[in-house]
Amino acid sequence: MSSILETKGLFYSYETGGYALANVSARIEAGKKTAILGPNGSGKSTLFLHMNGVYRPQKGEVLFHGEPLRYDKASVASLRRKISLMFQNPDDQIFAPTVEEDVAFGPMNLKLPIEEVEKRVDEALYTVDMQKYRDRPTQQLSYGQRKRVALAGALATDPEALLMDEPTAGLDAQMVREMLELTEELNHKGKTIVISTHDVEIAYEWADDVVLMSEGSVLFNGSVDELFGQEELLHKARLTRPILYSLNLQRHLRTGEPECPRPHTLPECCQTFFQNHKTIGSGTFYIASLDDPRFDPGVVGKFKKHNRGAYGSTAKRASRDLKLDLHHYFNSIEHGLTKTSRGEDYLLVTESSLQGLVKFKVEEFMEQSNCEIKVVSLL
Amino acid sequence: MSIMKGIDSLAYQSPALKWPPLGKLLLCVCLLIGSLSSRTIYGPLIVLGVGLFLFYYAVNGKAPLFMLYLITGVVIFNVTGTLIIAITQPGEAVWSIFIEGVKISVTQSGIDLAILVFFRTMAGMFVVLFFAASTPVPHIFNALSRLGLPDYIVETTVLIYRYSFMVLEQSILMVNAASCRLGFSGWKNSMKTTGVLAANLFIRSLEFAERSQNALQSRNYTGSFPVFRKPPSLDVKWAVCSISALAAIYAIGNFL
Repeated sequence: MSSILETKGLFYSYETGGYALANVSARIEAGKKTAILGPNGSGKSTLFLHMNGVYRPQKGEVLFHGEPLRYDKASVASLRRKISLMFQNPDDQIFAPTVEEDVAFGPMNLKLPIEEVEKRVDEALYTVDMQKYRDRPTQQLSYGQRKRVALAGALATDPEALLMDEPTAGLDAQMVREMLELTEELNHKGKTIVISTHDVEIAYEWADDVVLMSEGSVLFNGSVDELFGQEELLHKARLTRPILYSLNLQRHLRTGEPECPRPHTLPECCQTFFQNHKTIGSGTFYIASLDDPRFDPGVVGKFKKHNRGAYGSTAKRASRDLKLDLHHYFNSIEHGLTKTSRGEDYLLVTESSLQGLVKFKVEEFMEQSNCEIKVVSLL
Repeated sequence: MSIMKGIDSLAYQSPALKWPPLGKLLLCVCLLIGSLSSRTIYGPLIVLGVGLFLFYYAVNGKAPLFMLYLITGVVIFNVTGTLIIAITQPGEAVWSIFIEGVKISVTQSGIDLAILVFFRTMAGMFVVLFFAASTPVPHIFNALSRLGLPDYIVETTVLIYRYSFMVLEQSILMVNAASCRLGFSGWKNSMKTTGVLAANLFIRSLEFAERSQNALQSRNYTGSFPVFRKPPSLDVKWAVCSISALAAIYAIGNFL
């Protein structure tokens, strides 16, 4: 796979002295979900500002699609059209008085025709479910809403890659899941997603690749499983192993059962730990697309109350509009897998463009946990 | 802080938000001139009626509590001021009282002037409140840019408007943090804490400005702030309506 962004021997220091980045070489693969993992002050945000062309390296270079960045106005503008940055603190990013003015800021700076700007603002606000707040002054929004507006502002330039600086920081548990699901959805629709985080649990569950940073240096760049196998690196970066990883390791050490494939989610963990326990057989995972004109809302009532969920921003919004009585509005695929692997049937309401992702996740789960779940697409 | 936020919220929720800001401004100025140029009470009375109606419409019939406090405050000042006017005008006394050997007289001209001033003030207050409760600051400045106000003034004002809320939020957090640690216990301590807070707020503002500069760059800022949704511009209808109102009030206030 080709890299979309790469840094080679990057050095950068602030006026306060000391290197914020010291010989940073990292590679972001196109189309993947990458987590820049590291404790506070490890240089994650500074690296993002380099990747977006805001900071110019004092030594080393940044490559975009294999080409070194140039820092003339036109080149930088072209880079920022393709690489969007969402700041950790939404208040740093939002400066327009109203929501739609702020989301339109990037596209307007690209001198796009007003109809195109209008379309992009609509789409971005729709994606983050902030359409009804479009005329609101930004200072009247809650922190979570400001975070969504910041994401919409980054999405409105329709970038190839989205750099998200601590996107889950300061959010409640539900918003964290919604934000992660949204990034998964965007990634499925073709965007490369890079998040910075110090949360090992999120990195382990969410990321394909990880860049581990500590004190301005890259300690590791590779797959998630590889990283968490190297405990000394984690200690060096003042991080710990994820709970699921440690539990699985203990299972391996205590029972002698193979460590791989490692469970990355709760349903995978349940399946790994309780595979020898008797269940009444696997259930069926029903998938319905709300945007399919043949969708019958009556089908929802045929499933148990706690066995219905929605996945995808459009499906969640549409199911609320249709007043569908669903139980899970986040983590619904995981809930569905847990239920179906215990022999119950589950209905997941989603949209046509995400059916492939849902099926892939179910198949991945079946392969990983050696479990047979019947997947049925409802028309 | 709450009043500033409150007025801002009112303006954004006002049914008169979509009216052209310059139209509203022109109407308000005409009403104020009409009221002030009127020699009789009729002009200010008409403006008060129009102002009350516009204000009632702008706040959607529900004036928030802070607005009522504001109005009460103005009324108290107004009543005090008009009482002083009533007893300080020369002429034949229509009513007198001795207090501690001092004669205080109210003259007919004093009463007339006091009533005129009272209604002018009340009319002016409601007209201005209508404008404030229906026009957010960015709308005013974006509209003024069409009249030739330089872009850099408009952009700076809009940015100051946006960031003032954040600086206020930050200052409240800092004041609360200082209060929790007894920073305001005693006069001397309060002075010292206030000084430290002011200095820190300034430093934080600088840091904030630096981060915002990064954000601007990352979002392709090219030196000017584009306006996506321009407020409606002043049309002939508004101009005719405002000038007609001024003419009518002037005529009624001076020749009736």
